[in-house]
Amino acid sequence: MRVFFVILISKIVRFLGKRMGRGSSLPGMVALYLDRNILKKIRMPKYVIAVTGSNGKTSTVEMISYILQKNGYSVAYNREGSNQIEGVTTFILDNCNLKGQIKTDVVLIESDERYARYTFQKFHPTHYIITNLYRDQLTRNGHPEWIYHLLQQSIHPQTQLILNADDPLVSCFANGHQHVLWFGLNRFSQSTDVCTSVYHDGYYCPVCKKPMEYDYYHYNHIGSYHCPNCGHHKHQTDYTVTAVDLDKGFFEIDHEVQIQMRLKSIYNVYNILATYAACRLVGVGKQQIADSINRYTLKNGRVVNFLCGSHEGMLLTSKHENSISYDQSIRVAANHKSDCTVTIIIDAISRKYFTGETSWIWDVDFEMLNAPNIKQILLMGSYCNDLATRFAYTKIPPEKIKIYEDIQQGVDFIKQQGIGYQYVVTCFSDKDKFLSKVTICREE
Amino acid sequence: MNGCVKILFLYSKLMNLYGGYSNIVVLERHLKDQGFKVIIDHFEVGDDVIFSDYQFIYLGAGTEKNQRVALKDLSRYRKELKTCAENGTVMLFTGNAFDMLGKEIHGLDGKNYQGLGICDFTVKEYGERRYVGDVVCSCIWDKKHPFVGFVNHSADITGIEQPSFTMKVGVENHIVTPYDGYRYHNLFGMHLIGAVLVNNPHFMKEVIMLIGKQFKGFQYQEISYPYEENSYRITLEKLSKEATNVTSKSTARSLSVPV
Repeated sequence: MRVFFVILISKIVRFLGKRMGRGSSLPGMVALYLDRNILKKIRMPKYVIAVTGSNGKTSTVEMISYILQKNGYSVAYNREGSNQIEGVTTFILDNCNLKGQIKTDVVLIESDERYARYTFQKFHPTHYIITNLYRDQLTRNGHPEWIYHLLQQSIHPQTQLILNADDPLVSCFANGHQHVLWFGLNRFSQSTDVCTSVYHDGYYCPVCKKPMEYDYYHYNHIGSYHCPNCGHHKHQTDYTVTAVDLDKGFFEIDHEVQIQMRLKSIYNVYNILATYAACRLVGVGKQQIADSINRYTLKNGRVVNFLCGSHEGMLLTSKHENSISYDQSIRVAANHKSDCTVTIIIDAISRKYFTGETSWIWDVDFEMLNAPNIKQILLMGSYCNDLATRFAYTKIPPEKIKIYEDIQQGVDFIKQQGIGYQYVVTCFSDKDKFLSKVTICREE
Repeated sequence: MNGCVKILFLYSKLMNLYGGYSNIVVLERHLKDQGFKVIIDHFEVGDDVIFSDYQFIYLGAGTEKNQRVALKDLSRYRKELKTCAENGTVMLFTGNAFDMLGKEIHGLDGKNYQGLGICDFTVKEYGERRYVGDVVCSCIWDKKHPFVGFVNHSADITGIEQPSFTMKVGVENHIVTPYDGYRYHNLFGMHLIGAVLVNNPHFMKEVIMLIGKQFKGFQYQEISYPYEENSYRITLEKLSKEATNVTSKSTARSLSVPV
C-alpha cells in the first residue's frame, strides 16, 4: 500500500509541477522524503543501463535511447538531464505503474559521477558504461582520481561493466570485478607516437605510479598503454573500432559494421562505440544499429549551425572547466579544410554556480589553432583578458587575435570583417549570448 | 643583461593539476623582460639535483596519491631544501604541495606520512570532503593587494602561528578555511591552485624582486602587462561582488558536506 501512495503522490506532484513549469527534482525529493528506500521497492525491467564518466554521457544516452526505440524497445530515460538522486527518482517513479512496476523494456540512466554512489545504493544497473575520466569541473570535482574513488563506491558486484579500455584510469574499475566488457579503438591514421596535449595524465601508472609506456595515443592520455612495473595495460577489446577516416566521417566496428558520422570527431566515434556495445547487449542486430545511427544528428543542441551576416558557421558547445572538451572542439576547427575564423567565448564560467577560476584554460591545447587556414581568432566575454594572456603563450601570430569583452561588438566584427567559415567554441552558460545575435539554421 | 636565473620545476609531470605550469612560463617571460637569461630545469622522480644552484623552485598541486610519491622522493633532499629556505631561495609550493612542507600528513587513507619538516605544522586530510572555492585574501606581507584565486584541497593545517592569508571571501556554496598560507623567509606555501603568479600581478612582481635581489645591481623596471592586470582587476571585482565573509562557522559546516 505504502509504495502505491508514494508513487501516487510523486505522480501528482510531477503533474502539478509540470503545469507550473517546475523542475524535475521536486517529485523525487517528496518521494524520498516519504520513503527513503522507495527505489528499492520498484520492480525494474531486465535491462537497467547506466552511463557515467566525464564526457560523452548525454550524447551516448541519447543515442542508445534512439536506437533502442527505433528497434522496437520502449525506453525510460532521464532526458531532462537531472542525473542526481532526486531527478533519477522522479523519472523512475514517473515511468512505473502504481504497483511499482516499470512499464518500459529498458531503463536508461545518465548518472552524475559524484552522486552515482547514492543512487545505486537503492538499485543497481544491470549494465554500466563508464566513458572516461578527465579533468572536468575541478571546482566541484577535485580531480579525476577523487572522482574515481567516488565512482568505485557506485559499482555493484553483479553489474556488467562496459569500460573504455583506452582510458588507463577507467580501466582500473576492472580490478577485482568479475563482469567486464571492453570497448576501444585500434590505432588509426591520427593516432600519434607521442602525447601531443598540454598535460599527460597517463604519464604515471594510476595503479603503481611508476612511468607508463604507450604504443600510441588517440588523443590526450587516451590510447594503448602498459606499465612495465605492475603490468596495468590496455585490455583486449570486445567492441573495437577497426578503421577510422575522420575526413570522410566514416568508421568501422569489428571489421564488419560501417558507420557514417555527421559530427566528424574522434570523441563521437567513442560515444557511438559505447552506444553500439550497449545496444548489442540488449539484443539489437549489428546492421540494425548501423542503419539507425548512420548520419545521426544529436538532438541535445550541442552543435548548432548558424548564419552570422553572410558567414555560415557552427557553434560547438564545450564544457568550460574541461580542457579535453575544449580540445575536442578546437580539433574540429583546426581540421577545417578552408579559411575560417575561430571564436572562443568565456563570459560566465558556469551556469549553475559562480566561479572566477580560469586556470583550466592553461590546460587547453590552443596551440592547435596555429594553422594557416585559421585566419582570425576572436576572444570574447568578460574573461577575454585571461584568454588573451593564455594566447600570448602560444605561437599563434598576435595579429590574428582580436579581443572583445562585449560579445555584441565581436559579432558585429564577424558580420563586417569575418573571414570564411565561423567556428564558435563556448559553454552552455554562454552559448545563447552568441546565438541570440545570429540566425540559427534548423536542420531537418 | 642582468645574469641568468635558474628555475627548478619540481615534478612537472606528477604534480601538474590545474594548469600550475603557467606560473613557470609566465615568470620566464617576465624575467626575460627584466633582462635576465632564464634556464628552466625539470626535476622528476629519481632525479638528482643541486638545489642551491637555483634562484626559484616551484612545486604545484597533484592528486593525493601523486603527492605521496613526490613527498617520498623529495624527502631524499630534506636537508638541502631546508638550507635553501633558510638561505632565502625563492620557493613557491601551491595546492597540496604546501601540505608537504610540514612535519606530518595524516592521510585520508588512514596512514601517516612524514613531511619535509621545513615548517612546523601538521596536516590532516579528509576522505569525504574537499575545500573548494574562489577566494579573495588579504596578505600579511602586502596589505595593499589582496590575492585572488581558488583553493581545492582536502586538508586542515594546524600549528601555523602566523598564516599569510586571511580569507576575506568564499563564494556561495564554496567552502574554504578562514586562514591559509605560510611564508618562511622567501618560501611561500599556499593552498591557492593553478595560475597563482599569473592571476596576481603584485605577487609576480614580489617574486621577481626577490629573485632579483640575488643579483648585484638588479633594478626592477615597471613593465605593463595589460591583459594580466585587467584580468586581476575584473576577477577581484567579480569576486568581491559575489562573495561573503568566511567565518569559522562556514568551516565547521564543511565537515558535514560531501563534495
